[in-house]
Amino acid sequence: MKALLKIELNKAVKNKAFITSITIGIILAILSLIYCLSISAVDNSMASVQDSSNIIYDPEIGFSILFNNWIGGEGGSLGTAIFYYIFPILCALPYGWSYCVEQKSGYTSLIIAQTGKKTYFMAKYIATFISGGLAMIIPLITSILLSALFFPAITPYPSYDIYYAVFVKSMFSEVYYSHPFLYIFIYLCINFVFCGIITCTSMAAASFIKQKYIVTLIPFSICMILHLSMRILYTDPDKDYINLSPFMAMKPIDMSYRNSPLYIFILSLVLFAATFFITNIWEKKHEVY
Amino acid sequence: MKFIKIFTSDIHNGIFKKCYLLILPAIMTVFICISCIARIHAYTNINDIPDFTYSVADMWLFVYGGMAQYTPTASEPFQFPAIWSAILALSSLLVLNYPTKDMLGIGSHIIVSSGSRRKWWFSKILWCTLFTILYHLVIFVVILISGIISHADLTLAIDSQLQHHIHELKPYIPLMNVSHIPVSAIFLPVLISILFNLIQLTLQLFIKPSYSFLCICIIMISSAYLMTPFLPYNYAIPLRYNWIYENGFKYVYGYPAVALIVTMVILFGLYRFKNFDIIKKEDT
Repeated sequence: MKALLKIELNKAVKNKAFITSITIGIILAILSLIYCLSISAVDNSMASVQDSSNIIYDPEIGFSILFNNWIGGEGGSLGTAIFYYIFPILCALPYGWSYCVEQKSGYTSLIIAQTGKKTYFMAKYIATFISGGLAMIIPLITSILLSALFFPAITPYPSYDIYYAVFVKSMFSEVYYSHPFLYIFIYLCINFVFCGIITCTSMAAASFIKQKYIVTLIPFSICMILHLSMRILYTDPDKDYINLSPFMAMKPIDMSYRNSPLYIFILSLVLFAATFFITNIWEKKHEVY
Repeated sequence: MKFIKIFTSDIHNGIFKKCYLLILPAIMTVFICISCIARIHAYTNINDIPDFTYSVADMWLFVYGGMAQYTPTASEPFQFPAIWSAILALSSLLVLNYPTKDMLGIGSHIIVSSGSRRKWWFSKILWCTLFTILYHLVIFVVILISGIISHADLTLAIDSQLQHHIHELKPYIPLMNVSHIPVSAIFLPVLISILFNLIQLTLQLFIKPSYSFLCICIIMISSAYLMTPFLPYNYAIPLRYNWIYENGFKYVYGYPAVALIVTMVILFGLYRFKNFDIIKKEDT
């Protein structure tokens, strides 16, 4: 199992598609940073006006801090808009297609003859999961590190919540205003797990669909269906609804609706159960030769 | 082999055999129309207008409207228009499969027996255009049927206040008081959809299909984010047209723009396809 897992992980991470996916993610993170820096320049010029007019300006209380100037913490740049729309595709590009291709090429039957079905499917599932998770969080971590070069990591001040888009009712808001790095870490974990699971839907879909590129777009389609359902179901703009869209739920800030940890947990659990059942139980019972 | 034979084969394999795919936009539009009607009822209840009448054009604008101009602020994160992007992305997704599958299968034999790559390429262009038209026709028909069932007026009349409510627009985004939607505005989103499906088809000659879809998605979101006529998806957003939005752009420019880009795309694709390696394994 260990040897096969190592091979699978190597294949998952050391391929052109993984590098392409990460590169696109990092370009978008840089695009977001450029936007944040331009906004920050405007803020600073306003501060200098305040200085010259003898109004006390306290740089310790910032609107523009690290936690609202990385791709996940800000919601206004083109970079973040594109990144959180295409993330299901970016996650599936590196390795979501792998099982589909190996099935068609006959590699699956060869490897199963040597290692057994259980080991193969488990190793493939884990590798797909990890590649999807990494494709999501590497650009996010890069974005945090890049932003940390320019913005101070001041603990967010609750009075400025409109600048952070994390409100009293937001998910883990008390953590955000007390331990912001822990808040980011929690969201990175959520992103890693969810994106890993959503990438495994590609692997599960390969049991029924034989086109590699259609399989790759299955995670995007699932996210789109959930997002569209939310738009269709939520007809009253004044009601306090729970966010159903993965496009928004992966973002550590509040969009129009509140993120719910229970919903994210249930959705992840359902997707995990479905993908694990199809790939490790249902598919195991089928003839591969 | 004559062009008409290749095209007939595409109609048979790419439309008749794939007509079940057109159920997807029909189902999606049914749910969107139900949501639209619920929003209209909520609007009449809030404003206490018991004998309020709406039209199928109001429902059409809910489906194809898109979003108003976005102004980036810290307190208002960007939210892409869900219904609009779902409609256009699904159309691109549905035309992604057939051309590549055909080229890797029977298509190479057709090209050899016809002795002309140009015929195959033009046949695919026509197929893509026809499929996209059918896709939007299904949506139009579902909107019309939903309108008839819900007793909507079968006119092109528009209620700007209603549109403001059902699109959940911010108070600082004023819509002009217009009485009717121009007929020319109705067909532009369909033309833009055809244009981008053709661009996607041409992109597949350079990059893998999933990457070409990714490019289309990026252009789509960039267009929703930035209101500029240089991002052509903007011409598919009727809420940004100057007939309803004061700061909107002249949507009529969309027609010559589409004609120009489509011509360029077809010729560019033809040039590329003449030198394209059609004997490939299916590693796309």
